[in-house]
Amino acid sequence: MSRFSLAIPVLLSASLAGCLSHIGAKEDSGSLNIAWMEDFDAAQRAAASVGRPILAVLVAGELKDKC
Amino acid sequence: MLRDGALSDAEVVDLVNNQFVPVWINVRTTPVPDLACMEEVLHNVRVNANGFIQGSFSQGFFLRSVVLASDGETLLNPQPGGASLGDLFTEGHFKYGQVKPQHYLPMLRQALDRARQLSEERARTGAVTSDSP
Repeated sequence: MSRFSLAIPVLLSASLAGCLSHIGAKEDSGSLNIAWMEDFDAAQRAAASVGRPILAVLVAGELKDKC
Repeated sequence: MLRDGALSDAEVVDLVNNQFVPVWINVRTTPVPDLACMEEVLHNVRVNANGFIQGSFSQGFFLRSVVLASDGETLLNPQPGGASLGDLFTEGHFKYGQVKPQHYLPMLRQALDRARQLSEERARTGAVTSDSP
């Protein structure tokens, strides 16, 4: 069995887990300049308090994805 | 794609920081918010009883940007119709899946306009609100 054949299950698993699409956010990524909250209930309270809309980004991955 | 696309755009970053309360929800580890409007946002997406997105594809590639009024419930960026490949070709993105600044900025600005309208309507009818960009 070739090395490539041995790698297929690993690559397939990584792909299905989304790892291939999740390049970690660079330290200087502009997205990290946004003051993200990570708790929706807290964001609801903050929005009600300051009277601003909520931008909720629902995504399969961490804010600083190390995948 | 979103992180290094729209969310890294200086204009988007400024607008989000100055006009919104931004929240990052990792659907791999966090249930989706239990809101009525999520039925439209999550059209054709399998969600279990605990609010977690199901399916290996969604676990890997899920992305939605949702704007809610300061009441935390009213959807301000409605994009009805559900996801379809046609949207990708005609609009350049799936519903709620904008990743480029040229698509993201108008979506955010339209949501702010709706927030302003909602605030004015509620002021006229006497309902309490403070949504106003």
